Amino acid sequence: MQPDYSTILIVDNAEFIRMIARLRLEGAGVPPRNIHEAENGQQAYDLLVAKEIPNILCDYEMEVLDGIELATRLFITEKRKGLRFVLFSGTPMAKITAALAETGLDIPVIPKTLLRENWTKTELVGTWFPELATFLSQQQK
Amino acid sequence: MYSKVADDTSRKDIRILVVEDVDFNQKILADILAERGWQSVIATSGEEALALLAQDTDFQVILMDIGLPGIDGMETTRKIKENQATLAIPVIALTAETAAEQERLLAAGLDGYAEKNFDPEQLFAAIEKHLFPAGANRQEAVDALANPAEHLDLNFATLLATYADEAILCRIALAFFADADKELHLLGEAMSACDRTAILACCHSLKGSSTIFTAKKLAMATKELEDCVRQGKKIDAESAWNKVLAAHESLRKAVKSRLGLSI
Repeated sequence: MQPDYSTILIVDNAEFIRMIARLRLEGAGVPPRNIHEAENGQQAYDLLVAKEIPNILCDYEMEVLDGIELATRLFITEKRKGLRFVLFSGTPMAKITAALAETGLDIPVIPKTLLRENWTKTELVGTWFPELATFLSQQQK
Repeated sequence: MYSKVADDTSRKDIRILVVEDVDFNQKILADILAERGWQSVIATSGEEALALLAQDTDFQVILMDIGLPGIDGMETTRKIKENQATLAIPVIALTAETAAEQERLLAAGLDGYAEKNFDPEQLFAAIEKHLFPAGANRQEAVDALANPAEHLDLNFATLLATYADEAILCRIALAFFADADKELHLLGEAMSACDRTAILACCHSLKGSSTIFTAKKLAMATKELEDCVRQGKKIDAESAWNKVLAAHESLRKAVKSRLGLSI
């Protein structure tokens, strides 16, 4: 199955946060139908088994399969390739960086503070999800 | 090296010069600094920063992007440190560089560095190290800013400017209250059970959502509760919990009256 780099999955247990993240992505030009949502890591994993979504914006702290557990399952246990996985959290970065270092995962972490600003294709979506940014650029032409 | 102006650590009108060329980064940094009640003045290049400092040196800290176009952050810092009028202002590098590179920045004359990841706590820590070198008055200054009564229930102007559409704002408000009500219920249970871990988890979530929703009073009340629990101040925690409930109710009324929602 070929991954569709124009799709993205938001994983967060708070509906409010998912909604804001969706609005930010839509504001950057991502079509609403290309944005998927999951309430926790397990729900995200189940969705990723059924559908290949290569871009994942995932909360760090969740009760059922947290962000690092989900990333560990995808990257270490299943050795999946071609995924763009970004953790976002309100937790101090140092704590997450330490937790990531223990697992050996090398994935970007961003603070939820960024949800307060509009996102653009180049500034943010381009940094974390370059293939998605390329898709958005092609759409504009 | 500390700014001579920062010696008066109880002052709230702290001004920070942010030297950053990317518009988005400027906005997010100003927003984060405003959380502490600090004023930010933006310079979009090294040249602009130097021109500004030639007219006005009343800054307690300078946040310096290193990868600036034109005169880069290192060169700009060197010129700041060559000038008697500005050499005492601490310059903190904003960098995404490795630890080895960060050490090189310090060796080159910068006073500190913060990772360019927009983590508010990390940024505050890097700045406060220079603002409040001995820790004196820091708590007093922070407490004064943390008084929930001083803050607005909700910043409608910011929300409308961001979302530009009242219908979207209504959807956001409904989602916010759906989550916040759930968190408050869990928080109440955790408070009754004196479950420290659960209280901190709920506070963390509620504080984050409130901040993004621009509900500053609720965010600050939640932070106060979180701090009390972390410090084991049980009686203060009870009082802070009541402030959280009051701030939530006050926010609900403000949103109901402004957006006409049944919440």
